[in-house]
Amino acid sequence: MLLQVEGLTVRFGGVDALAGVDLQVQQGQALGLVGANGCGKTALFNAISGVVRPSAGRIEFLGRDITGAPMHEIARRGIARTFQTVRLFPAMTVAGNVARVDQTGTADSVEQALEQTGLAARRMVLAGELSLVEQRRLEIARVLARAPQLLLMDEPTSGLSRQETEDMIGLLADAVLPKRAVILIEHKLHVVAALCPSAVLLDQGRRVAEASPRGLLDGTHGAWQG
Amino acid sequence: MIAMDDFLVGVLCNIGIISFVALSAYVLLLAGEVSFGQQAFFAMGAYAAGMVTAMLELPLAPALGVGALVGAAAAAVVGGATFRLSGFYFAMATLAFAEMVRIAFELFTLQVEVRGTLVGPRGTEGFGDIRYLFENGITPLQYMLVVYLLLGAVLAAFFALEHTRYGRALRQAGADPLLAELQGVSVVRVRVIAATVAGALAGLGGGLYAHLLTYVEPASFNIMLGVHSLAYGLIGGLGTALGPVVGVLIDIGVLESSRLFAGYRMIVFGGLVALLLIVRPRGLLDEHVVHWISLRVRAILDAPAGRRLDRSLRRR
Repeated sequence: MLLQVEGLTVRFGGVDALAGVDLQVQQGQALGLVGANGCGKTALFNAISGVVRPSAGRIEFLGRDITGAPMHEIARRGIARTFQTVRLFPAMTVAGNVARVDQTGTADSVEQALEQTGLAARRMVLAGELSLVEQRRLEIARVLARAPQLLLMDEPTSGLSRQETEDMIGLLADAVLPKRAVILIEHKLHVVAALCPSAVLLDQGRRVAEASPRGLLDGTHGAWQG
Repeated sequence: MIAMDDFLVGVLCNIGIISFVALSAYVLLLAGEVSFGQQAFFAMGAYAAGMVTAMLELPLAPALGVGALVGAAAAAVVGGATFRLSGFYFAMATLAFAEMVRIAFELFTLQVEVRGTLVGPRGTEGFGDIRYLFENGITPLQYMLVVYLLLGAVLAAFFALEHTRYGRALRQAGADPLLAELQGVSVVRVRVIAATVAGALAGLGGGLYAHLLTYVEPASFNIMLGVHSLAYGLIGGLGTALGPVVGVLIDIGVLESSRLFAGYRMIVFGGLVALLLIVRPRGLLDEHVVHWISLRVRAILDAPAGRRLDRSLRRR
């Protein structure tokens, strides 16, 4: 088992953003994470990546307890993430954003990441000067260069046009999914269906169901609709 | 003419020395922290280095080394204790620390007899007789060369640092600490190292300062020095280590030394800081300007030699 989440609770004041969520991810698995706005999807990513400390529960990665560990330690163990709103170092070049700052990845993996995402020719451009779709690709390049074992992707097609979304699906299917496990938060059903054989549905901080994306939509789970 | 030259050498020496404390504040700005207290490490370096030459009668080089080490050690302790703080709280902690240090020097008296004379810090009266340069026949021009040799080495180290993992981690930690952490950067560790380096730079600058003036007193290391140190980076720019040096050049080299704004210097300086914070919040040489320059330089270097020759011939 790559990732095992048990009884995860994240509480903000009197509100349970997550209430006893269980989740398992196998090596190489692509798992969708769906649900209405505010159902706890991003809170789950924040807890796994160490951005917030869980109020209760346990997170194991590769058999080791990482519950409440510092963000940089979790990242070094092999968990990477992207954000719903693109988050880059805008005053650094494309190459500077992708370049390694710790021991993960290799020099070759940086070059390969830039090639795979079509950003090799843009390496000396400042990240803040890229178009949105290029910035989305740069986020992908950054995580590819780190070669994580688990990637948490938060709406990678948010803000993209239909064609750009299709291109992004192609990039994720070709470059990202084959080599690592992915948990994908996405509101666009066809993106989840194209990339993930199964998806977990969250509703008000609770895990409601796990099924194929189509199965979740066709079922009675109104929470999916947001 | 000689007086003129001495004045110029004095101004250049001052610019070089104050650049160290400006670079000290710059390192912390890169790490995303605003310090109003780098003058504390400058003071410690000044007193420590002065004590080594004046009281222990050791040469200048180890004295400057001791100044840098004392600054680094104190900054590491303060950095370790305060880097859980951020933003306003960190700025206030550094200011409070600097004032504590200044007052501690006002209370600090330690004198020893050297060749029949009592030498050493004497509270608010300061610490005089740091006469190493005079006693060893080092001229102001020679000392200026020492200052700029050291400054050049520090700037070269900064340029090299930009291409290292730590250099990238430092800029990432300053730009977006959360994102940097998610790239595997321990932001606290990066900032404590930055604070230590900043302390060493300030301490080294303090050592140079004490030997240039031969006399230091606690009042020299007040909040204004801290504010100026911070402002130099914000004026000159945070895109390169040359930025804070440019800031010092503008303030001391133009505003103070030209005496164009005699009596109004601080008003002009304050106005300049306010204006730049509005129109160029990361200074004149910010990341965009530095990037633009580096692309131009790269294009020239990458151009085939023949094309470069053609271009230079056309210019003639």
